[in-house]
Order: sequence, then C-alpha cells, then structure tokens
Amino acid sequence: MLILADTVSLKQDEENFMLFDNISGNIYKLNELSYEILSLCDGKNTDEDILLNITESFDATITEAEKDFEGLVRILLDKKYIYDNDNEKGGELYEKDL
Amino acid sequence: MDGYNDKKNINKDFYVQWHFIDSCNLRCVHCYQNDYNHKTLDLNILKDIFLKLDEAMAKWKMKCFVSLTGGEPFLKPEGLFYLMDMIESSDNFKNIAILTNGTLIDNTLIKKIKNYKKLAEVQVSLDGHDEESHDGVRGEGTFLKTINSIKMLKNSGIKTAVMFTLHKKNIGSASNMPRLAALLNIDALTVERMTAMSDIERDEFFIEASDLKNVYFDVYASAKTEFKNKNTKLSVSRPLWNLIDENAGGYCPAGLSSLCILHDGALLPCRRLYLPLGNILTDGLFKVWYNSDILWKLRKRNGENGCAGCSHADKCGGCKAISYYYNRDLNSKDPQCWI
Repeated sequence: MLILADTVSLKQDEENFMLFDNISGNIYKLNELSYEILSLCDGKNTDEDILLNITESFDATITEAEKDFEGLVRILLDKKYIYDNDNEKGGELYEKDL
Repeated sequence: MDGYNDKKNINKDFYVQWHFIDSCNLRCVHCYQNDYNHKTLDLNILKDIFLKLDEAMAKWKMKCFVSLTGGEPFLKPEGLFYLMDMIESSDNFKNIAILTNGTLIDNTLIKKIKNYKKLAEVQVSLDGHDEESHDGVRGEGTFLKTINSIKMLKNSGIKTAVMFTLHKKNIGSASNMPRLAALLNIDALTVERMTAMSDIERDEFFIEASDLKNVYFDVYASAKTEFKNKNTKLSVSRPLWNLIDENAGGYCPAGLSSLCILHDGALLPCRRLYLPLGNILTDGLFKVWYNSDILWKLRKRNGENGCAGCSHADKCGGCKAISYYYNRDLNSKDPQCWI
C-alpha cells in the first residue's frame, strides 16, 4: 500500500494545494485531485480504495481515475515522495509495478 | 504563504534577525531575554546555521537581509566578523545590519565593520532622550557611552539608526526623541512598542491605546518639524503607523518573509513572539517554514484575522506578538490599536 515519505508533507491552504519536499525545499502546486490522492496514501488504503474514493469525490470514471492515479504515482515513486510499504526492504524503496 | 519557487519572489527580500549570541553586558528593564549566560561562541554552529540559511535563499531565489544581534553582538566581535565574512561572500545575502546597545563600540571596531560592503546600517538602541531616562532603562552610564558611539559611527560615515523601544517607563521621552535624533544627525529613528510578555510586564510597561495614539501623533509631528531639511527619517513601516499617515505603516512580515534565529539555532516567528517553531540545525529551515502551524496561522490575512475588514488592514494588521500576549490569539486585534 502506498504511503507518503516522511521527507515530504502536504498542505491545503484555502484554494491552494501543495506538496513540500522538506529536504530539497522544492514546492509543488497540486490540483485538488492529486492532493486527494496523496492524502489517501497513508499506508492503509489500497490502490482500489484510493481509486474508489476519487471516482466518488470527483465524479470521474474508473478509467479516468486510473489514468490520473497511475500517472501521478509513477512520478512520485520516481522522486521517492511515496513508496509502497509492501515492497520496502532494508530501507530501499522499490518502484511499484504499475 | 507566498509561493516560493515562484518567479514572483525572485530577488525579493527575506528578513532574518539572527541573535547569534545570547550574552549581554547590560540588563535592560524591558529586555525579552531571560538567559544572559556568557557561553563560548561556537563558530561551527554559526557556520551550520549560515549554510542552512544560504541554501534556503538559493532555493527560494530570494535575497536575505540579515540583522545580526544578540545579546550584544560586540561582546564577541570574533563571532560577528566570522558571520559577516560568510555573508559578504554569498550572493544570496543582500545586506547586513548590526543591532547593538552601543556601549562597546570603539574606533577599531568601526574601522573593521566599515570594510564590509554589505553593511547597510548599524542600529543603536536608545531608550530615552536624556541620561536619566535612558539610564533608567539600560543602566547607569550607558547613555553617554551610547551617544558617543553614535557620534563615532556617524563620523565614520556608517549609516546609523536609533531604535527607541517605547513603554510606560519611557513614554515621556518619546516625543523628545526626534529632537535628539536630529541633533545627532542620525539616518533613521524607529519608535517601536515593547511587547509585554506576561501579566507582570503588562502592569509595568503596557501603554493603553488612547495614550499610544497621542504618543504616535506627537512623535510624528515632532519628527516632521525636527527632520525638516535634514537627512534623518522617522521609520514608520511598522503596524499602527498607517493610522497616523495613510502612506506609512506595513503589514507584519512574520511568517511571510521574515524569521528570527537564536544563537542555538532555535527558530521563532519574531524575537518578541517566543513561540519556538523548531531548530534550523536539527529540523532544517524548509521543514519548519513549510509545516509550522504557527507560521500558517500568521499567514492568515482574511477571515480568521481580527483586522479583516479594517480599511488599514493591508498596511497595518497590528503587531502579532502584542496581540498574542494580550489576547492569546495571534490574529486578534492589536490591543493598542485605537480605532
């Protein structure tokens, strides 16, 4: 299950949705959908839970939600901003098989 | 929060007040500092703090205006110059100010600080217009030493400012400060309210809003007369001055574009607002700046802010520290606001 790395943090401030890299200092402005997906990456929700949640919240089809979800997850796994806690071994992070 | 990494912030100023030393040779009656221990200055700590700051400014593409102070910065000039050397050589730092009580300055030190191109000004604390009023706050013999230092600084060509910390004990001196400032031919005079941080301090030092209004009007009027045809300016960029002059005043930058760092790396929104945010050495600046609930609260300019709806809000907003200690709410209305 996906979980946000402890080196990053999420923040919603009024209409702004942000992802902070607390090590490099990078700031990413997110759209609401991305913010919601990342908020659900808590190590407890399965991919299916997240997809179901966003299809309900954003009135999207499963196909649309999957596309957004997989695109975002790929980028964030690459940056090591999220990881799959099922695949974590010895501190190394393994890219989720998408 | 302003969106750092945004092009709109490139080359904008970020203000840091760095209390790099906690030791002081004076014991002023209104001082915010509790601990005066004469600890050894650890230059490695100073360097580590500098590197964290430098990194953040580079990332945000902002230019740091840093005020170096203490304690008393001239108590350990080796630390002061160590920092100034690093700051001078970094493109991420724009200017340096030194905030001092002015009792330890001599011509040798002045000659040395004059060499720094980034030195913007030396700000000297003067808490009374005469020996009796100033010494009553800062200790016997300090007025003459401080006045002498101001004269030496001015004679050397260094931009010299005076900070008058206003409270109940020196309220009678306030409107006389512009005359003294003009006589000394200083570059700028700041009259800024003391923050009473406890009930005891409130009883002893707090000035009621109606009295403050009179003082601010008197100081403003006096400065207008005394500074006519002079190069001396009254600094009116802080909250509440907008109520005197619609072109003056400024919104408190705490949490938006300013920060206070203590000698051990502890971070505060402002020296007068003792709400520790974290430590730059152990937490890093990014983590604190992006995640502190206190900073996010300070960034609220609408809705939850007690000044929302006030026509002066954009150039005032009150002092967050005074509001906090008076109302236990950072965003409540400034208790010294008279409108």
